Amino acid sequence: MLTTSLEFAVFLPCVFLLYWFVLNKNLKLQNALILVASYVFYGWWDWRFLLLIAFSSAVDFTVGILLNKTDQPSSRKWLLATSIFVNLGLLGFFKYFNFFLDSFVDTFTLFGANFSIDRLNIILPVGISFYTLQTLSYTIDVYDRKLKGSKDFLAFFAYVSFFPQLVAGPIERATQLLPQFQKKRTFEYDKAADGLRQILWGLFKKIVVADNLAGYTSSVIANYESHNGSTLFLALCVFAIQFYCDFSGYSDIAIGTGRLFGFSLMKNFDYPFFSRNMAELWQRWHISLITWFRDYLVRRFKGFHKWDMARNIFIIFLITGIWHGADWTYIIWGVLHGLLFMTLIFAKKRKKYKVIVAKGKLLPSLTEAGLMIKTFVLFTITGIFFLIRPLDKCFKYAAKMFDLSFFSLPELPFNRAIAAVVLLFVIEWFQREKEHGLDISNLSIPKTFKWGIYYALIFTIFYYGGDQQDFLYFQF
Amino acid sequence: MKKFLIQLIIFIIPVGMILVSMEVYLRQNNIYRAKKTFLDNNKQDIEALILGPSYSWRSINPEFLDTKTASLAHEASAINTNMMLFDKYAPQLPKLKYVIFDLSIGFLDTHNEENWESKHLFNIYYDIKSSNNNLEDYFLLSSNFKYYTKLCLSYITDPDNIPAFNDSGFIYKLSKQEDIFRIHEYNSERLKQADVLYRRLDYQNTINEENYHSNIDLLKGLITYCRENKINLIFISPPKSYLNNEKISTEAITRRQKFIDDITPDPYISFWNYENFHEQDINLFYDDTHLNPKGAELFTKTLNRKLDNYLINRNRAEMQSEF
Repeated sequence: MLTTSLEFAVFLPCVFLLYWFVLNKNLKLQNALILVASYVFYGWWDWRFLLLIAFSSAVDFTVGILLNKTDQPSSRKWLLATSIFVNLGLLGFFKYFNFFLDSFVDTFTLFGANFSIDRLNIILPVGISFYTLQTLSYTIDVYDRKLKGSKDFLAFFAYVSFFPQLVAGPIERATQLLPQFQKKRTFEYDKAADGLRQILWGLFKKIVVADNLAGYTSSVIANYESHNGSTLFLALCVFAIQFYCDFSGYSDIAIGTGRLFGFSLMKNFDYPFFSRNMAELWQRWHISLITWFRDYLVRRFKGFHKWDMARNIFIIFLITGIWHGADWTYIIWGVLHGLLFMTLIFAKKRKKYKVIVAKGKLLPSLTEAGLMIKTFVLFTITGIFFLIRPLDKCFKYAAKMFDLSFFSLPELPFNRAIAAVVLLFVIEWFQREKEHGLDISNLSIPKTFKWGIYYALIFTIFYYGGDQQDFLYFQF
Repeated sequence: MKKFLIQLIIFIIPVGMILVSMEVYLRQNNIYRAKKTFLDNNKQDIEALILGPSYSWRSINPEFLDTKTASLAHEASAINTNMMLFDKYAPQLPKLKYVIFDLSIGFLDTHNEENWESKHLFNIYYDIKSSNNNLEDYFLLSSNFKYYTKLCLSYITDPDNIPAFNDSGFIYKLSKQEDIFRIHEYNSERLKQADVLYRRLDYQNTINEENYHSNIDLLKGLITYCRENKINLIFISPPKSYLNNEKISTEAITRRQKFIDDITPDPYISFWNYENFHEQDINLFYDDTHLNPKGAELFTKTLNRKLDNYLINRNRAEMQSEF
């Protein structure tokens, strides 16, 4: 079920009313409702893959309980290894099997052995990359004794499959989200109202901005040979914005929906296009993924020397690239970002920007504006390897982009799409110190004016929305 | 919690009221609804059924036919969707004697995909569902918000934009916007220069082997049903203006003719070609491929005479064969 569909618009109020009006006095029933709702939500796409989530949850639930019962280091290691093997095994099979098969055949072909193996026709279960990391965070946290293994079957299964963030994050930590399932939740007016505002903002970003830009990027990229260099460059810039609005729009809807049910989900995007270098950008882009790899993977590597840090950063981005997809282009994309980040470590600029640009000011300085544009361009250009496949097409695209036609006038997207992007950047700039673009709860303006803004946004979403597209991150 | 819900309801009420009123209004003034109601009210008496795209819908006013006729021809509908209607309703019409089926040039090469534009209308009014009907397809506004909002706004801003239709769903008063030939004062030179002209030409001259063969298979099913139930099947090509006819490709004509040659030896099947009927009188058309209500009246009366003669001849032939 898409969170931008009419089905979801009916599904959400039904679950909400049952949750707060019928089952509000019983935590277990509330968790059961979330579990059932989450399985319906996921099964709407393909019910067969529910078995996969259920299996993954059952394995980790059992491992958690067994970890509670043993203090023997070797047994604990075996239990953790079992969880990792099962979860990464499933992910590896569904996501990477054909990639490794192709790479295996290519390697042998390179050495003169000619043979072929038939690829398997594997459907990638939606959200598997996300819920695998979420459920793994649980067993690792229990192994590290940051958390007791849960004995509450309903709470644990609901934690793994929590529908607002099930298919595209934010990727939650067990230490942060699971306890919220285990204690009574109370309805807070301000939290719920702001949740609705965040959902509205997410819908605007997804339907008005991303969906209106999708046609331009896909048509330029599909026929890149027939466009000039400046148009190809513009298409990359447009794709970066489309991608941001698509993904952060989903995250906003997820976080907002979570708040309606009394949950606090972690922030996933924090105005990344207002970053002054790549290190700052990666503190603001897909935060839940980058910090997951930092917290659960590289923190296990010892060392505080800058070479150790550089190695850790490189590993994080390499894994991030691989996580995104089974293709060499993603790996190169990850490596490139790792290298860009490493240069900042050696230049001691990794933590240079901790607060948002031009904090408390109306406009940025010229230097700040220049740094933001430079960061955006770097992010955009490396995006070639994220957006285009296969690898040889990336190089052809880059070669065409940087030929002499780069200095000619580009073909622009529709006026409506341009207007949507301008509106987005203006609103996000003025709201950059707030939780989200529509966080106007503390704004001292009349209520009728606030409602006017909401009505205008709703009208814009209905009337100027682009053709419905799947969320881009569903493919990961 | 209560405060939140009350605020939410108060917020939603104005939006909901506007949307519900729009939906109700659009449903009340809907040609699909008129056709369905006419069909339901006259099931026991209907003797003829018209199927096809807008060419047939706009050319034949069932009220001018002596035979009780229902027109289930709809805008942009292809053979596969017309067959859905036929399969559903033909068995419910005990007196059905004729099926008038559009066979304009290009119709054999078109197909309505899963996402065809009138999917929601067939779902709402005829309860005909395609395999991927979503919740959106149960409401006009949610199925195509932009289109229906613009339509509503155009009705509100100028009443002349509202078409008037009779009980059988035939439009006897065109909306101001669609009467293209009148807008260009029936001036051929101005019309030739206008980019709105020939907009259907690509559609008519399209060659698509896959669609052609699947449509022929569907029509063979129609022929078999009609033969088994002694229903006369009349393929028809309604009038088009010369501005359109002179641009039709020979290949498109040949493809249709091949199919007609294969089927017309059957005594229950006929093909009546009216493509060149008054083709030079462009004041009888509202665009290059559709008759206006005045042209439709003239054409329907001509068709009525032909149907009467056909009926007499068929009865005579049947009596002779009985003896």
